[in-house]
Amino acid sequence: MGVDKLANQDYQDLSIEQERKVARTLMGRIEWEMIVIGLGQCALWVVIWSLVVQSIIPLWAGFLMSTITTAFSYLPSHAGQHGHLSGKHKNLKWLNSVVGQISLIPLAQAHDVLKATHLKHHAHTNDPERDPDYGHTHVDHWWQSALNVHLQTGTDGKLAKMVEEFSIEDPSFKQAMERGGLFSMLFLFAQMVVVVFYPLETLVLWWLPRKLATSFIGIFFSMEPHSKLPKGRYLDTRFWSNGMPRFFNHSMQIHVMHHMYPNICHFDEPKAIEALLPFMIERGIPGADKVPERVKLNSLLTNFSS
Amino acid sequence: MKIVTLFFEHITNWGLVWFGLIFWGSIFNATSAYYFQNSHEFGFVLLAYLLGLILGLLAKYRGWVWIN
Repeated sequence: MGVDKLANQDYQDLSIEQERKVARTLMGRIEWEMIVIGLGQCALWVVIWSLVVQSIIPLWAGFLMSTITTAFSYLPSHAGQHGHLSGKHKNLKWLNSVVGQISLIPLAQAHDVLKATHLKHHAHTNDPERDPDYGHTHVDHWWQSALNVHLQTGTDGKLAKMVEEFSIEDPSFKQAMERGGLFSMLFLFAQMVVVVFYPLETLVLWWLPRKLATSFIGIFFSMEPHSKLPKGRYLDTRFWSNGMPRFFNHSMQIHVMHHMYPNICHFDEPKAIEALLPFMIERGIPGADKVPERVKLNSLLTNFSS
Repeated sequence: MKIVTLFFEHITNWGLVWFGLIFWGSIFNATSAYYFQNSHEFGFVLLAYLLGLILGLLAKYRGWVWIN
């Protein structure tokens, strides 16, 4: 049965079984949009480097362009972390890690590390002792999130302790971190090699954009949807708006849909919300009562005061 | 195999220091060219990489992972 038909049904039945039945109709496709974004932004980043090195465009223009493209590098990896790039096709599972890792080159991050810690975030959202994102999520101001997201991996940091504990109790987590560690080391060396030949370009086209993009991710992907919320499947994420078009937040205003059903593709979340809104209101998801019936590009803007 | 293990162990412990020396040293060295005419002299180059090394050491002992 299609989602439209299910969505138009009488929603007197707001059981968990019915909720799952509706959600399942929205899962399983290959999120080709993320494959295009992942490979496209990385290719553009390489082109920007080439244009700057050949003095075709100035360094400052390269910086602006690189910052924009780098801001798009995490979402495709995130889609890969949840298996959206292969959908229900088991023979295409390699797409998740290959495209996910290529997409992360501008961010100089390891897909396996981000996947392992992100899945722990889903399992322990808003738990101060178990959520890897807690340090930059539960803060008072956006700038604290922007800074903390860079500080959390220090050797004496809370995240390091969490990783140590997860590695002891979960062998697959440990393996993923070790696999990812190789890529992290590779990125460390890559930057040290490139900087010798192109010092200022490496700073302005790689290091600085990825720091800015990481802050952007910390604020919009972690803090805004989760800050100061309790633990609980239907309580740990909120609908929100900050006056910017949803596109500029990478649609994180509706991140709550992702936490409710991580197997639903990012680009299908608006129609998933439309289909599941009665269930979301019934479950008391923060902000669900203010969401309009139609979730358009910027539709949340008028319904939220902050 | 042991050499590889020792290498990874070394980079895990001292990666930030090497990053400070090479990455930030190169950037300080390149930046000095904008401010000093004789920045190519050995003293300037040495100073730039020394600053990078100090930043790397500070990062290691103070947990400034943001330098990477």
